[in-house]
Amino acid sequence: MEIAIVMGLLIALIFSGLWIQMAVGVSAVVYIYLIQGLGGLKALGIVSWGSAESYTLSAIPLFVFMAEILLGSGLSTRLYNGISPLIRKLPGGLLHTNVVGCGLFAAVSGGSAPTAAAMGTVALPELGKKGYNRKLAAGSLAAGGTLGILIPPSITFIVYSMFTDTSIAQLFMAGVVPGIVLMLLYMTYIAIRAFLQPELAPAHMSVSDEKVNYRQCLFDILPLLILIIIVLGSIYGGIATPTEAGAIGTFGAIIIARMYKSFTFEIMKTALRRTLVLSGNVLFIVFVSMIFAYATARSGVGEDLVDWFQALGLSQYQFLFGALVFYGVLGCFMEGLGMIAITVPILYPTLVAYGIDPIWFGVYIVILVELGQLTPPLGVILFVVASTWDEISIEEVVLGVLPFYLIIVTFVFLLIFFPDLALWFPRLMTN
Amino acid sequence: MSAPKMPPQSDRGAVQTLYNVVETVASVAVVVMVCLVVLEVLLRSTIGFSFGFVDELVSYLVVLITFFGVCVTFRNKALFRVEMFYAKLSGTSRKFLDLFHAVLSLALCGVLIYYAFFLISSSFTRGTISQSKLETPLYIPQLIIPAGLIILAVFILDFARLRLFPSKSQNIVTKVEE
Repeated sequence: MEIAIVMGLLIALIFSGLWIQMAVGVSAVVYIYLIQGLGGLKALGIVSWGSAESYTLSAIPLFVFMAEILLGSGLSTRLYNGISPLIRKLPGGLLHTNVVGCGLFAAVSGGSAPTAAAMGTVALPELGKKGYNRKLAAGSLAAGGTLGILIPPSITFIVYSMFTDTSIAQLFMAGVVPGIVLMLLYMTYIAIRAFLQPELAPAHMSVSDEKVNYRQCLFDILPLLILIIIVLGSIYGGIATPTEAGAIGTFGAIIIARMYKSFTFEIMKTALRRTLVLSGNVLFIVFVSMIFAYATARSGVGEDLVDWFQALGLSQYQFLFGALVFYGVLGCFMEGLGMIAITVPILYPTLVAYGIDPIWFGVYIVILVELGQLTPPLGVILFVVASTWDEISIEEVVLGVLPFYLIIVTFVFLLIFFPDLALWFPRLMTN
Repeated sequence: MSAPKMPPQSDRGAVQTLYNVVETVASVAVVVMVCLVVLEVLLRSTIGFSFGFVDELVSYLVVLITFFGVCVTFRNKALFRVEMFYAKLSGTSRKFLDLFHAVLSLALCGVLIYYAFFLISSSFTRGTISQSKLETPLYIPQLIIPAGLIILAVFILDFARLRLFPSKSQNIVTKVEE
């Protein structure tokens, strides 16, 4: 009963436009009061301290800072310039740059919005100018942008690990293969569309004569590739914790920015401010959600949910399809991190009861969040992509995203029936 | 001859100064965190030396970045929110809703600050220290929580004041480039 009141309150507050952190915080306090009375609130102090003081969470500001320094140093332009000559001869031409560029940027950025914004600002006006189909260009950028939370390092995985006590390193490993497969599926779709309708990507016909400066391409991409290998390799190899990898990555980003002669005090200041804005948002939502998770744990609602599912006689597949619909609908209205932080502590006992691997479920839920980011009316990536070029409307972006949305849904089913897509790589690395 | 009269310092200016201090402190925290961790990794991997307290300091810095960071986020109007229905409201309805939101947020801050002080007082009287090399008296880092929340409450109050008296809002807060 209490959970129904609290969820009703939470939804009402969120839809009223209250800042999500505050909505979760108020609902958490009301929840504790409802189940334990005023006396229960005494635990708020120690719960607050336990929620906020976390070495694991330190990886979030560090990865954000690393990406912001790289972004400030003009990485997106260099990535675009470096990748486009190498893959423009594929059917679909420069549209592939969106996907590959986003995939590479995702490997240094922890979020989808920065990934889509970084590539969109450079690629979308350029593709529009060259006569590429705007919807396909916008769709590929938006879909590529969502890889930011799947391809490690991912802030969403770090937050998920906080609520499930799973290894960040294993989650980071589990995201790699699904990320690459999704990239390949996007590229295949683009190639098929461009093959069937060459007018969608006209520029690739005429670029083959231009001389490619491979040395310049290498100079543009290689430092980033080395940074990715150092950051992710040190985590995968068990040499460094995600926090240490984030700090070393930040140091590496400063070196790259200096190498590109674009490291200034102003860039550093802007990168720090943007890091604080994003980290403040994410860390505070984790903080209030931990209080909410404390309340749900005390209420025993997670165990009640297990009993309810078992009474319904749902199979594992039915549960997972239910989760797909649930998160698909929720993702239309709610921001992904909040969605994970509020629902995962409640669902976690059910995962255990169904014998679902929490690492696999981490990948599953992150892909569902990706879907949410592409779903109107609140799909954040749609707005990010639309805002990167003033000549494209949100409607064009939505229409362009639709085929990629279907590709992701198809991939979700593949992941359900072939869980090794996510689990093979972590198993290989652990062995 | 008298010195030129200085314009009275408005409280908006004071709030902005507070913002600048908060942003600077949190920025320094991020930079210190990077330096500490890199130094620890370098020393550990080269000469096998570890400070033995970097994890602890980093987790305190996370607390600082969380609570000062959310102040920076709020001041830059970048806290996550769903504006689907909010954006469709008229100016007056939006104003009252904003005030209602401010009251709710202040209430939350108030409750969290009260119980944070409850914890700090308990840590102080019991002499609780961290189980580490530093043996930090825990009430010191714990003070970051109410400090950050009090600053957040000041920013929320300023937001409410500007919604009530919009004519006085001549200065625009520093906005992060989107």
